[in-house]
Amino acid sequence: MSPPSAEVPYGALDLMVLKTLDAMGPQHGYGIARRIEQMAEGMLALNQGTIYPALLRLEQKGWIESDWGTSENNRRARFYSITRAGRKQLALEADLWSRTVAMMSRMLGEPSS
Amino acid sequence: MTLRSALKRIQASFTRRSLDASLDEEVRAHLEMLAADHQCRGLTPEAAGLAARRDFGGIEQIKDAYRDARGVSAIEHILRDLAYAGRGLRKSPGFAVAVVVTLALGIGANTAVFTLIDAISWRNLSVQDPESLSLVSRIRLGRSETGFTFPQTRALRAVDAGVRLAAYSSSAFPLRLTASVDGNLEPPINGQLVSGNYFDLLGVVPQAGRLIRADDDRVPEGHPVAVLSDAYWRRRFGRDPAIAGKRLLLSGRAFDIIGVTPPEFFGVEVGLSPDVFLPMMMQASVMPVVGDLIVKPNVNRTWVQLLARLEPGVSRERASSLLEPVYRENVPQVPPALRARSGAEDRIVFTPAATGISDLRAHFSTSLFILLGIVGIVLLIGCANTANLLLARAAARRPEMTLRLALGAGRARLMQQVLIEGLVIGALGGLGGFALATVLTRVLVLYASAGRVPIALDLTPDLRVLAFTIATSFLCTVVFVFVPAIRAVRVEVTAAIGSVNGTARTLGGVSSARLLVVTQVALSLVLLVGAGLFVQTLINLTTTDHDVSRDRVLVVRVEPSGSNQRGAPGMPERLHHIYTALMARVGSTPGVRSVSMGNVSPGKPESGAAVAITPGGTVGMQDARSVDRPSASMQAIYRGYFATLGIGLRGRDFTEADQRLGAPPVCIVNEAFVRIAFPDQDPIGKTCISVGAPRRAYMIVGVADDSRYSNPRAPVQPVVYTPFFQSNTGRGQMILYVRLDGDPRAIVPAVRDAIWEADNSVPQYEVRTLAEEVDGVVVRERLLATVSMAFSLLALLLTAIGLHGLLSYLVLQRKRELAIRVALGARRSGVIALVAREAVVLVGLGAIAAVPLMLVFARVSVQFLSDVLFGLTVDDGVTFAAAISALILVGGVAASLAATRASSVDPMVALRAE
Repeated sequence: MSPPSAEVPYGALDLMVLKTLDAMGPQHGYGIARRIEQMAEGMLALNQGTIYPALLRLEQKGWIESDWGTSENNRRARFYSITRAGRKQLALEADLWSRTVAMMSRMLGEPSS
Repeated sequence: MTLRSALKRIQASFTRRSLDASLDEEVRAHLEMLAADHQCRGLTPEAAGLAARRDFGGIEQIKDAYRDARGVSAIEHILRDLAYAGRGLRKSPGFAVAVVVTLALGIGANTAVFTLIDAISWRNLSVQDPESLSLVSRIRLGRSETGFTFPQTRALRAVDAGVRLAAYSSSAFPLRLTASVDGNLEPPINGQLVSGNYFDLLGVVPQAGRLIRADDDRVPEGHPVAVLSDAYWRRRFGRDPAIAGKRLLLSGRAFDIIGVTPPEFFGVEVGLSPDVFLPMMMQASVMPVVGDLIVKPNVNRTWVQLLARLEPGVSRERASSLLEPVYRENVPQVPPALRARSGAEDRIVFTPAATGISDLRAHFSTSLFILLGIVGIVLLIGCANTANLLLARAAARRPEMTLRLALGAGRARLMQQVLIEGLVIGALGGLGGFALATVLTRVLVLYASAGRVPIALDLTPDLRVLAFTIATSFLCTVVFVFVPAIRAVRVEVTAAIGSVNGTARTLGGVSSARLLVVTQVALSLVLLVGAGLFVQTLINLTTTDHDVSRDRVLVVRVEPSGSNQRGAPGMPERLHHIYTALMARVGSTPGVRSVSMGNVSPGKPESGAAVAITPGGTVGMQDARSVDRPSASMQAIYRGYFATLGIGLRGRDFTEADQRLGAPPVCIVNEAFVRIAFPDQDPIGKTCISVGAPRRAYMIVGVADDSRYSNPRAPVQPVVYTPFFQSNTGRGQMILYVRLDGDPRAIVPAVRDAIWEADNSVPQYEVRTLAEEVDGVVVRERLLATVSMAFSLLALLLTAIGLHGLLSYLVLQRKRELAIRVALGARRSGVIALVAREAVVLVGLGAIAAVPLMLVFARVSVQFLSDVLFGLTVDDGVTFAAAISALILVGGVAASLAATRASSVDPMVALRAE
């Protein structure tokens, strides 16, 4: 397994958050961070706190919204959920990513002679 | 950044604290959940907590990154600076109060004067579409006038010239009506006669009932209806909703009240506000003095003014050209010789009337602008003081600034903080000034209203006034914060940090402060001299040779019923009987020195019958032919007139015999008359021939001194005084003059009782003193003199404070040095000498700097202010000397106060403070 990278591309984190919320429904900050770690299967060592600026950005752009609620252990926590605009953005970005990946694969898959 | 996120960020800047709290809570929750997770995996609580923190990452860094992305840092900096400035001001309340009060006074005074100028000159009338409103004036023999006779207006209004014309009574013929409601006699009110289409033309909508219409303007004396003004409705009737239908007795005639005008409407003349509007057809009932001018018009009584609204598409020239022929038909012909001399044909001109018509404007405009200049200079002086205070404050905060610079603050941020502090002070001063202005404006108007009719102005602040206040506050802030802000950040970190407590070296800012004080001294001197000039003008205008105190002479208008029909058979005898009884009764009241009557008030000589004089003593009616001949006023008096009013008399006064019916005609003339009619001769014994009807030959029995009560600036008007029966006038109303031996307040009630006893059918107007009557003439000069003197003294006080502040500051800066000197044996007088030298230099420089300013001022005033100043010679040494002495005196006081403080520096205390 390749060494875990502590660096996450800027836009990628936003995308991961959106995808998580889309798949899991409303979630609090800790839940999102843990899910992302799980999905990355150790390929990513994320400082969990860094999702907060990302959450702020996404909320400012109107792709997610937040509200206070109660967590599993009866604690007051802020829950985030994806908006309709967020879902559209997710679809757009996902498409962009796959096309980028396909293009890079083609480029990098060229035999080097 | 999208608009949405920009807005969110701005919003976040203002709700920083609550957002911070919720972020904290969120992070805490996250950490707790992380720790719980680790505990589940078997770690101890403490280890779990540490692991959680590790997993999270740098908490404070994350929070900082979050906060930076969340808000707009510029806004947050400004908000922080504002809070800091507020705290700083609260901690030094003395400083805060001093600067804010100084600024508020200055800005308030400026705003007050500006409000007056705005109300008088720039505000539009509250009528429909004031921009298209004009006043009609006529040009005859080169002179422009706005009055017409009634038949002229009727003819003009009948012309189809593409312009709507409405008529109203001119304020040159004031309508002061005795009113009576429910049988009780009321104080007199002001009225205005208007044509049927007046309110329609102006687009005024009643707030109760209805307004005068065309139907109310058809038959002379046939429409006894009245419309009240909002102010009168409020004042007298308490806004009674059932006002329409009530009755009002005006000058003895009953009128039905039909409606009330809206609150913002006051007619079209700025400064005058009629209490009641009446149809023009009712003229004869309410203007008895001049007779019935509708049915029997008099060509000399041009009592009607015309308002015009041009119809769309019609030009002024076209309307004029259609109206002029009609006008010319209705005007007495001028002899061709006179016309050739004085210029072209009669013309009709339209002048824009959007801001209303105003005598006030012509009269007070210049004075108000002068006042604005004066208070502007006072404000500058106040700003200089504020600047000095801020400089001192900046110097005191040098250690703090140095520390902050050393810790990495940017100079720009520091300067921004000082600027914001200045803005806060400026804003507070502006707010205070705005509030103060509302009070000051009313005081000024009240003061200037010392005349018969109180000045009514709409003084509510409008956008212009608000903009002026804001602009002034801002400019002041820029002026006084500029230098301190620069000085505050011009700190050399390495040099200053070693000597943080300050030595003689840190006198930075003193040169600027010195310059400011010198400027203040110069400006104060100029103001003082200016004020002195105005005061002297006032004195020149009001000193008369009359030996009677104007506060001790009462003036009472009496109008027995029938006195407006003096020509009726038997009426003169009846009136004479009433008047002589009245004078006898009042004369016997204790405290009364002498009594007399006359039919013309000294304050309004134009109300006498006007006659033209020819040398040789002939007087005749004024008519078109005698337009360029000198005119005199013929007045009816009783004996004792000159003694009561303190006017000197040569020859003899009228006797009882002269006053009887059928006595041989005699008259008394004044010196001005003699100069024109009998130059270089003694007129006593000669005759003055009146060519009116009846033709009379009066023998001149006395010559009176010129009375300068009415218009002190103009040449004295010639007057011919005759006894009551021999006067050629339709007016029977007389004015009672009572000369008192004591304080009027004590004797006035007795006088009122005496009048009542003599004839209780005589309605009385107010009892006023001669001072009140006549001082109304010099209102403008009094206003200028008082306000300029008051503000000059204020300027002097501010300068003294500034001087004192600077000297104290110097002492403070050199405290250590002075203490050492004293400890080493220097005498305290050396310290005083130090301070005194500084003071003398500053005041002296200021005085020298003032000289060129004053030369300019003298030049300007001779050119532009000649109509405001009076009787002054160009080098008025007295004023200058007085101003300099005042300045030296005040400067001396300030200096000595500072010096005493300086010399009381206890060396031990001063040195220990290091």
